[in-house]
Amino acid sequence: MSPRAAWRLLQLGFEQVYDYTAGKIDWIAAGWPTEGPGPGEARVLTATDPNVATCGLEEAVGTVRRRLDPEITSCAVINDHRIVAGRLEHLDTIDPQDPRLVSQVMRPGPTTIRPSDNLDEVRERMRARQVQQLLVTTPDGELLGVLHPE
Amino acid sequence: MLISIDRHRLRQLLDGGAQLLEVLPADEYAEEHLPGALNIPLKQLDANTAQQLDIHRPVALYCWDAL
Repeated sequence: MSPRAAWRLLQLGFEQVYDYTAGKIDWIAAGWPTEGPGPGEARVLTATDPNVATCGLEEAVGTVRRRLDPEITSCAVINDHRIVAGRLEHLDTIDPQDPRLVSQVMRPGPTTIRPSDNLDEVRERMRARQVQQLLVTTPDGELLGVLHPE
Repeated sequence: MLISIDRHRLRQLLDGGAQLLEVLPADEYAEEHLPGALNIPLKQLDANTAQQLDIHRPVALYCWDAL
């Protein structure tokens, strides 16, 4: 729809017309602010916890183990741009002196959700599949936080 | 000239004074829109309604998604 509107403006004499092709859903999915009352249902954004444990691809897993709270059993693996690359799991079983790199041990391609997703639907799926947390990212994969079932 | 942009470039343009236009129906605009956006639904976009815009300044526009 927006390309047609853009061409219409050009026909009307406008000379500098920019088409934000990905549209409103992309903006909302990035967690960026909007105006208006919003949809009736809650979105994931409203329940996203920004306090999520992270580690880098080139860290030693033993270093990550020592750095993080002992109660934390998994963390998000991110690159220098906070793009999610994977998850490091079973941290509680890792030797604090383990020299292997996170990139060698992580589980790549974890499931992620967008801030614009329907909160109730996501949480229902999490409960049904007994998922304890899901990473929330922008459409570009940038980590925003984590969602818990409740 | 028509240029496709992403949201990062859009923010730069808005910071530089570009006008922002949502071309979705009025009820969708009323529910939620990008900060500072005007609304002219596509079906109402003509020479008359476009007078709400400054023809000499850049205009960035959007709908719901890329489809």
